[in-house]
Amino acid sequence: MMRRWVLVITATTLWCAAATAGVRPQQTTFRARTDAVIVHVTVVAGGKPVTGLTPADFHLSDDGVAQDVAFAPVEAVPLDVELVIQTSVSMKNPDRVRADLKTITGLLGPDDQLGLMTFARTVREEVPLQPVSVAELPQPLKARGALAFDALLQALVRPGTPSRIHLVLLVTDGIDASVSRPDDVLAVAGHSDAVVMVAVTGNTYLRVSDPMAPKQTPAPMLTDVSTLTGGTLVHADDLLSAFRQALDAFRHSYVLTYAATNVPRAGWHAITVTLARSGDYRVLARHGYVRR
Amino acid sequence: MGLTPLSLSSSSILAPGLVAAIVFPLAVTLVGQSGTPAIPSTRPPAVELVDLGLEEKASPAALLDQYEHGDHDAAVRGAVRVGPGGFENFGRALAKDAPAWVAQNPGSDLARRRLIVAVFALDVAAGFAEASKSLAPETRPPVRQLIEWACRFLRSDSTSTPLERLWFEASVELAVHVDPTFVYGFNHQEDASATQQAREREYGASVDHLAHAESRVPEDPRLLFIAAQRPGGGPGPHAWTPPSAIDSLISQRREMTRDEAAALERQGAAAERAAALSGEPPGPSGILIERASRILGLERASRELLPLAQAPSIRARANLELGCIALCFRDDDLARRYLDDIDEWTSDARVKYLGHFIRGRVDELDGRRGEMERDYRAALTFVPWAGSATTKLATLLWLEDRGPEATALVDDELTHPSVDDPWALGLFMDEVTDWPALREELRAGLR
Repeated sequence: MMRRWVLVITATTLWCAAATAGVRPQQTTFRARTDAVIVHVTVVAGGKPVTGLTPADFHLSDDGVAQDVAFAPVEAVPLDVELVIQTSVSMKNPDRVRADLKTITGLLGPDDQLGLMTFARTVREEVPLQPVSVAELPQPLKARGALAFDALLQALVRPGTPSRIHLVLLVTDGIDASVSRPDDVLAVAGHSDAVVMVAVTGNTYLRVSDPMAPKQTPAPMLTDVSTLTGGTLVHADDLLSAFRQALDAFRHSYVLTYAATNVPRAGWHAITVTLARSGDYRVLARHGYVRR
Repeated sequence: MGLTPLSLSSSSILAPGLVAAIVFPLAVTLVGQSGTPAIPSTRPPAVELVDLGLEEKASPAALLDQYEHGDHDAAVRGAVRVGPGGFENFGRALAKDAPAWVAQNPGSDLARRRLIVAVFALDVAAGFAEASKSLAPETRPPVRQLIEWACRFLRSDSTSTPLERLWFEASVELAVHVDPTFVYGFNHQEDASATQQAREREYGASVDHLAHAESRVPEDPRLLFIAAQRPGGGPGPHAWTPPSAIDSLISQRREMTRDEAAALERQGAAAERAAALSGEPPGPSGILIERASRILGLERASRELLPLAQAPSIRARANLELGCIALCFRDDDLARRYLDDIDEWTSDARVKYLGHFIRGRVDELDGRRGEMERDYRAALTFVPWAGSATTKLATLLWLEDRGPEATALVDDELTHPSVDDPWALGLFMDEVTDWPALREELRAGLR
């Protein structure tokens, strides 16, 4: 099949070195036409990431139609990063949060975009998704509350661009008082194009908004929502640490690219990724994307 | 009027600057009607208070004059501008000046002037509470003390006026949001634990404002409504209990004596019901015991609220709470009956919002997607862009493959971040209250 997307990679060694240093490369360029689709995939076996796979190891179908896939270097794929942070936690040291946000912008590449949502007793969009170079990160207000699920859900229903990776990083202490039920979030995540990384800064989890709802523990729910989308859950003490860990976890993964073929319709496209190998592998990838 | 002391804790009134450094950690002067400081022998001696220069700004007497002449907001501002750190001194000055102010015009209606003092005190307490919302709880001024002082001021006189009932309703509506413990007292804590004793030391004898109000205006529907929501067997009837109430409940559980815990564990029937409702296996776990306790509390609240469902002054809110309780018990049809007509019984957009929003929850749990969408959309007509209904509606639309609608809804909400969500207000202990409306009625009644 003739590839309809265009992949341009320059300075491969640069981004490899930069990846080692924990910084996204500044010189790398990856361009894909808008009909290209990018899928972030993590393969684990025995709880550890599996490396050394090739494109031929993957089977990918888009709305049930098999697609030809290729790899794109993880560090070269442009990211749409949506930070969703709990201000009542992350604002323990306001100066540090602001500094963390500034450092995070430095870790992203020039083609990446960054958005910032905060939540406490309300969900706020502090900075809409925009190029890192122009993103001005404000000082979020400290407030009481913990609408973690609501904030995550709102981030998930705002799709990104298929040719970019939509990475949502939720930073929460694990206490939630949302109106959204865990089932809601999982269902929406299952139909979202985002890769959800969750950073938990607390050790306990109380779902306090619905006394008659079954009590949840953080690990299953927050792990489920992350793995469902190809992401992961990390524990962190602060925003920057959370972001670094999420980025590291992200790098231990594959980025499949394909030009969607014979699936012309607009709307939700279901993606299925499997491994053409026998063994006890677990493939974590987003379940679809929205074509406009 | 007797010299009922006001006690101040070292942790409750620490304010930036002003008197904080001198006052703490000592308990401070306790003032009665005569203005004479009264210091309980068990407490540390009072220290000399900082002169905040009240006379240079406006004395309580001058502010009372201003308030009497209808310049309410300016008078309240004049009091509040001393800042959180000046609260105590203002309260003492008001307590000292008020009797003389009431009596200064012998030919006037003393009962009315007494009521003016009480309404002014309430209004000022609300002003201080509002002005200190952004402060950490432990640094906010103890406005409950001013409310209870005004309460005693009214109760000390046998003469009552028709407007007094309204004052007690307003004071409880305000106080329950300022400090529920102050309103309900400690009766729900049966043991004389160290914690209770510590709290009583902090609050002094006046820890049950609701009882004081009920003694003056018995069988008042609004007071009965608030009484029905007291903590005790459960954290309250609201289906979405404030986190702090849950924390309090957990804390109470920890503080229970072994005998009390054993007694609660014997409440097997309630625990079984809790298990059935939650889908968890029955057992003597802490969560189930907690939930059993909550269920008993909800059943008690339901019994007490039912007679109020037709009371005009509180009908909408009583039905809203009853609907929430029915939802907790998953009696969906009953919940709908309580919630269906709330619009007709109130002009308060927040209460209307909650009526539709909670009905949406009922329909959601019942799998009625069409009605759920209608409910959430109706809620948003009363409080546009409120986060709770927006999130629920967006979820529904997204899962029905109506993604663009869901995205647009959330995009729109996020451009209106300042909207107060009634559901979130209830959740975070700043519940929907009739205090503003009652205050306006009081002010109008004084004219």
